[in-house]
This record gives sequence, structure tokens and C-alpha cells, in this order.
Amino acid sequence: MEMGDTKTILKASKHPYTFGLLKSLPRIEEKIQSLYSIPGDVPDMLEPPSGCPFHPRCAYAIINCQDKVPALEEYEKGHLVACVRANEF
Amino acid sequence: MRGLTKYFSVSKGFFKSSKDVVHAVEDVFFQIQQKETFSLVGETGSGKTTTGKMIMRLIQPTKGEIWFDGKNLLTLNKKQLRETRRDMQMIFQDPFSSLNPRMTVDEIVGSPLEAQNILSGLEKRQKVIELVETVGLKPGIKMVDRFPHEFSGGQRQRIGVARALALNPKFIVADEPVASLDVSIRAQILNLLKDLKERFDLTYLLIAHDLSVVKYMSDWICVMYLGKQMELAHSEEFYSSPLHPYSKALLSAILSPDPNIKHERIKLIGEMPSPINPPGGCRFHTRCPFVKNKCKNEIPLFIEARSKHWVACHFWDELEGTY
Repeated sequence: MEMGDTKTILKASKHPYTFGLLKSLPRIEEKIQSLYSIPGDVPDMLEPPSGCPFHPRCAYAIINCQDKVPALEEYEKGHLVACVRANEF
Repeated sequence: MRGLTKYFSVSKGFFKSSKDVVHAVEDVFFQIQQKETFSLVGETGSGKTTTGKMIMRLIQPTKGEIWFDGKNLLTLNKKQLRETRRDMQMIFQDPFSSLNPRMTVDEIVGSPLEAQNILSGLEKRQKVIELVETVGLKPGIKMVDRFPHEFSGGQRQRIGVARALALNPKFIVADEPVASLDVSIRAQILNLLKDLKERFDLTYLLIAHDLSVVKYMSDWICVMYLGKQMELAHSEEFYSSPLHPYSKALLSAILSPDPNIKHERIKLIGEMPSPINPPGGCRFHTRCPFVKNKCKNEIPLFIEARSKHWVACHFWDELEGTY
């Protein structure tokens, strides 16, 4: 889904799955009322979803996402992202 | 109804061989107010789970009293205990081993209803379907006839929660409910537990070791070490001004995913000593970075150092603000 050096991934993630995971961690620094969570469950790999494997759970999914598997493309040097909307995040 | 209050003072020993006694939990005392979440934290072996199990009467305390809803659970006869058990349920850590693999969801979630002779047959099935919906699983007649292995870890934990809710309990002991789950699923289960608490006016005893999770969930926090209480305070008070060196060490050991946050770590040396022969004086003295002579000889009392903030340390006031 995404690959890069630790700092980039943790601070400037460009994939909804990555920043979804980061947001769903409870943090000691803050007191929040409700924790963010990625909806749904890990998909059944006997019938994997079409297109982007994350699209059924993605809040930013668009029509294109269910048709084509996004390529792992270089967003910046050393930072690879497999998301068609990476530029918007 | 009276306020749901538990008074708890236990001294416990398991006979290991002829003379060895494991001091699993000793003289633990706390109260849980209705509709609040009370958390027990500490390392493995600190006695958190033993305490939870004693409250549920799954194991017999050696000494002490457990009060629930005005009744002393240790003096009830079998019939009374059975009735009281309806109000108390437990959620377990591992949804892979806490659900019988040979039973369907209908049997698992419905078993408390049958055991207490509340519902059976079609009515029971209807209730199971309702419960399964309550915990956020996709309802359906087919779904309740499936077996645990057909579900993911998060879904299994939801089944475990549904089973705990079957009898409309007032009080739930959740023993590490999210420790074995993925990060994204963990958030879902924590939110579910919070929602259910609001919806059904539940009271929780949460047993956990992850202090970030505990902060998200709790009203009260009790830190345990080698079967003893080290500190007890309201959540906000505990996170803003912990008093015990052990609590401070635990708090400083929390890692943040933000690489820019640098924090001072208080490193604890060594491992927890054996509870069969616990250290004399303060049980934490063998690992405390601020240990003094008095700590080795005298057991610190669990005192109310500040209003509603208890601590068991001889030098809590001297150490305050020094690190």
C-alpha cells in the first residue's frame, strides 16, 4: 500500500489505509471521546475485492477504485504509494 | 436501586507445594461506582487477572470481602450466587480460545440464557439474533448457525461481547479485551464497549496493560505490582500527576508513534521478583530507582496522599517534582 522511511510514513502518510491505522491508535497525549476506526473487516482472500483491495473499507474511494488496481508509484523520492488520490492527501 | 459499590479486601495464597505460597494478590481494596470504568493495570504477574477472577467468583479468595449491590458475594449460598451471576459477566482476552470451536454462534451466545432458564427454543434464537446485531455483526439467520472459525478475530470478540450481554448484566469484567487484536479492529471494539456502556448503563472492570487504551476507556485507575496496590486515582489525576515511581516508570515507557516526541524514560532494572518469596518492605524496592533503606525494611501503607488519590510509597512527597 505504501512504503517509505519511518518519519515520512508516520508524519506525512499519503495512503488512507496508513493514516487510518495511525488515527485508530489511542494516544496518551490526548483525551478523546471517540476513537477513529477503519470500518469493516479484513476482506476474505478467497474472494478478494476487485480493483484496489482497500476500496470497500476506504472513506475516500471513488468509482475508479473498484475497477483498477492502483500501481505502487513514487510520490516523492523514496516514498511509494498505491493510491490514485495520493496527491489529494 | 442502591448504588453499585464493591468493597474489596483480599489476601490470597495458592498452595504450590507443601509450604510455598504464591502471594498472588494481597490486601487489595477498591470501590467501583455504578456506570464507571475502573481499570487495573500492571505488568504480567501483578495480580490483575487474579483480582478480576476473584470478583467473578471464578476462584476463591483466601480472605476478604467482595460486595456487589449490597450483597457480600462470599457469604451467598449457591442459589443466591447463581442469581447474582446474572448481573456479572466477563469478556476474555483471546477470542480464539474463549469460544468453543464446536458450538455455533447461536449456541455460544444463547448458552447463558439456557443455563439460567430464561429463554429457549425460538425465543432464544430471536434474542441471539438481536444480541448479535447489538454488537455490530451483520444479522441473518445463517450467520448464527456458523462456527467461530468462520469469523475474523474482531468478529469473534464481538461474539464474546454478545455472550456477555445476553443476560443484561450490570457489571462486566473485561480482561485484556483488545490485547490480541489488530490496531484497526482494536479501535472498533473499544468504541463498541464504550457505546454499550452508555446504552445499557454498564459498569466495567477493565484489566489492561496498555496505558493508552486505559486512558481512553477509564474513569479510575489502579496500578498493581506483585499482587499489591501501588496507586489508585481518578484517570485525569493519574495521568497528570502520578505519585508512585512505578506508575511514573510505566507512563514513561509508553511509546508514541510520533517520531518528534522525545521523552525522558525511567528505566526499570531487572524483572519482577517471584511472588512465592516477594521482597520484604516495599515490594517494588528491588527495582525502584529511588530506593532508600526504609523501603527495604518497612512496608509502605496505602495512604490517601491527596484527595481521592492513594499511593503506597514512603517517599511520594519527597519525590514529587524531582523527576
